[in-house]
Amino acid sequence: MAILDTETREIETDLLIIGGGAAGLWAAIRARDFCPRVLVVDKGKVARSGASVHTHCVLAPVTEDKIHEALEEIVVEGGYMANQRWAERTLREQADRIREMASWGAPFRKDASGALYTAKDRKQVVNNSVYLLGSDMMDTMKAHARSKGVDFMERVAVAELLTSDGQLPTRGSVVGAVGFHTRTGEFYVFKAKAVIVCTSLMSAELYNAAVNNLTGDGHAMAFRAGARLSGMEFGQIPNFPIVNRKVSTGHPAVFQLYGAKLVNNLGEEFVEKYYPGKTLQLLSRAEISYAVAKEALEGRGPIYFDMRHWSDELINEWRRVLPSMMKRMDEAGIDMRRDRLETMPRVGSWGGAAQSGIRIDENAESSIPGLFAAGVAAHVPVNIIDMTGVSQAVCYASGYRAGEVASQRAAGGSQVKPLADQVNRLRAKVFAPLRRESGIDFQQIYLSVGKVTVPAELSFFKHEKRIKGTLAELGRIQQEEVPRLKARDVHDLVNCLGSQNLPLLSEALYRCALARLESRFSHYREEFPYRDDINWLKWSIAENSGKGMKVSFESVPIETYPIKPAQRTRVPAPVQFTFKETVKAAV
Amino acid sequence: MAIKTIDSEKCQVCPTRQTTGCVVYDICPMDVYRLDEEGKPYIAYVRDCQSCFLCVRDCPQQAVYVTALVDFPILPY
Repeated sequence: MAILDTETREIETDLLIIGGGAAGLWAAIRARDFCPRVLVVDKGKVARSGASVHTHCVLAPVTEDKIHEALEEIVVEGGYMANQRWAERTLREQADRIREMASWGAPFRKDASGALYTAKDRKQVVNNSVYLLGSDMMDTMKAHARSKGVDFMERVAVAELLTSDGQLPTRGSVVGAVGFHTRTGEFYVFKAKAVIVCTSLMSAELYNAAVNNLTGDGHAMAFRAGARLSGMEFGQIPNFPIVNRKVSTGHPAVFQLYGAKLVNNLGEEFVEKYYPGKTLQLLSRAEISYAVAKEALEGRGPIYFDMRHWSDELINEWRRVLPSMMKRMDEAGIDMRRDRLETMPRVGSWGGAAQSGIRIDENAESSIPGLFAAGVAAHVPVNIIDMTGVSQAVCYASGYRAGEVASQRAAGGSQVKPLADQVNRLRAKVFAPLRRESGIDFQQIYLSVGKVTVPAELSFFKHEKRIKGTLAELGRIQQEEVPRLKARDVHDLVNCLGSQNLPLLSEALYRCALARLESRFSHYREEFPYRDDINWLKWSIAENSGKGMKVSFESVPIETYPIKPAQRTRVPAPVQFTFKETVKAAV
Repeated sequence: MAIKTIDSEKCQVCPTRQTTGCVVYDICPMDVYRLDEEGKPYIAYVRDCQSCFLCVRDCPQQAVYVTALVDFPILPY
């Protein structure tokens, strides 16, 4: 096959940034203050690829007098698991980031007086949101990065990291990466003095609407290189997409905010039953999803959102802000003024909101020298509570910091030449699915993994016995199916590359879930239906030992943080459920 | 869910395509488009469309139509 004979292109830079979303561009913009050669590589088109382009708002600037209160809201609601230093930095720097973006021309929504329009969005009592379409935000940032001399390389998929000792996992440092052009198949070898991973979460195509180009590439390549992953058991984000058997859409969050009713098939608004005193607006998607799942599994489904009381003005506003969601409604013949919308409990994405990802320190450096991470790729536990706009703000803060530190390291460092032997081995590995005469389609991987990770008793409500069953199957998929992946062409090789990450990262997720003997956020164990702050104010660490996956835990250094719990207690999980096969059969 | 159609007549007269190249080919996150000999886009990898509607938003001629209707079975939870 001609593609296998393509030339190898060697690219030398000071700082290599993998992924050109909000975190990657902030990293690049800041890095140019300190080092001459900054290269952003993206497998798609920067400003249209990834997750940031699909956002519509971000955390509002916080004034100095409100910082402590805003921090407290995030820390207390998040069960004291937040990294308070990252949280405080995120809150404190947000005003500067917003002001800079506005000065570059980012068209934030304004109020009648010309000031930034702010509103309370999901989970916000103290904090606020400001509104800016993701595509406008990304266009503005890309133009500014260009004007600052950042280099871009688009349609190049980075597949693996290069290490000083030529090993994965490494005992040395990260010295670059390899990848390929997604249209021409040219093989790229990047030599860099420092690397920042700014890729996105994994939004797998699991019977559901998904952003399919988010395939957890950064998490997976860092893990293979030996970097520690943290918080993986919380990576499976429960959600409640709108599904009416004809159309499937994300963006359910909007229904929370403006007085939509969530009812079961008896017409009961059931959320209050599980979360007394809380409106939909004040609940995370995970919290709502658990209630939806329990109602549905106990035979009180389907579950509906009812917005029939909404004004035309409000519906038109959403048409402007979220045109793709509204278009889906139109096409399915759904009129929100007339019809209720069916929702289903579903796990949506792996590793969202930065509560799981590559473990980094306060300089955004991973456990491997030379490798940094920022944004959703990194474990920056601030937005554990799923507050609107905080994940974006974390992308800004961690991207900015990663760019600042990594570029200074690169400017003072020297280039280490990648080992030819490792480059050759990785080239053979990356192109292997193209070389096979026959094999399986990448969608088979999604299907196989989906079967043992999507059903509610394997995702929402976990139990030791079922986790072990899932882990056995994930092992089989990695041993038997992944090595048989067949790419139809170089375009399909991108799909193959992404699909390999799902069983690997799912294994990390289920191994950590097996080890955490309590329930919190998006992790629930039937045998331990309570949040246990006495024993489990800890973050999990999953590591590639070279002989398999190793899981350990590290305590949250709560005694060193400004906000501490008055006492550590054990609190019953608000939604409790014990799965029985007979119940499932009845649904 | 996938791209349904591209209005070739609108592409024919698209000034952007004739000067700086086809926008939807340039921006598609899943890279589902390819260009024919005239530089007009066609849907080469329809199964990879993620229905993000970015091409619908960015196409200067509004030539692209994407459907949101699902073509896969939505399984029970």
